[in-house]
Amino acid sequence: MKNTLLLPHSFKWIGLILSAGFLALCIATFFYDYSSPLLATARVPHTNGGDDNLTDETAISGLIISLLMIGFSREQSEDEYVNAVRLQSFQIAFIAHYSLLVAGIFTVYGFNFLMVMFFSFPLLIFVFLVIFYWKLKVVPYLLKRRTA
Amino acid sequence: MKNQLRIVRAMENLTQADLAAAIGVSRQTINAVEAGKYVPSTVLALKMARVLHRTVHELFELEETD
Repeated sequence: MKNTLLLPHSFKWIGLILSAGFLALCIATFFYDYSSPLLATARVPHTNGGDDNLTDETAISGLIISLLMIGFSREQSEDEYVNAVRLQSFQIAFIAHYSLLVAGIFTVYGFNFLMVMFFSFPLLIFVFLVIFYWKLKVVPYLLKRRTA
Repeated sequence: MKNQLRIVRAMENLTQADLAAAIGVSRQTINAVEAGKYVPSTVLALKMARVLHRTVHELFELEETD
């Protein structure tokens, strides 16, 4: 059965470039309190007057979307084995992500917990990408070296 | 599940890349099937049998643990 929920292969490279940029923006925003004047806006009513700049929202959303582009783009040679590895990687990433989250719930408190929750959004897709490409590229290489 | 894929492929003088190209899958898929890391679908198994001029039973064998 063909997987029709995937983006064209070119989105992988677009996602890689964008994710690098948005990751840099996330680091600048969350660790160095950077706010872009271009993303300043009138106080948003539903934030109870707490937000007048969308830099942090843009950074984290951009990172999530660009990582999704990488994760949901076709491989160059997409076949049933790649689909099976992708499914298995999602399962492992799902379990790993929620295990980390539960560990964070019991070990991190106060304002730091808010940061844990905030960074848990892109963490699932990031863990999936690590596992997927590890299984697809690194494991066959290590097996080949072992049998050579 | 055991398979004779590597042996039969060698008898037919085909590389993994040749077999992959003939079937329309990646070389990684052939490698994974030969290494026993992946159980092919029925369609893939039939395609392998056709390209290698064997029956599916000659290529694949069930084990006790399956």
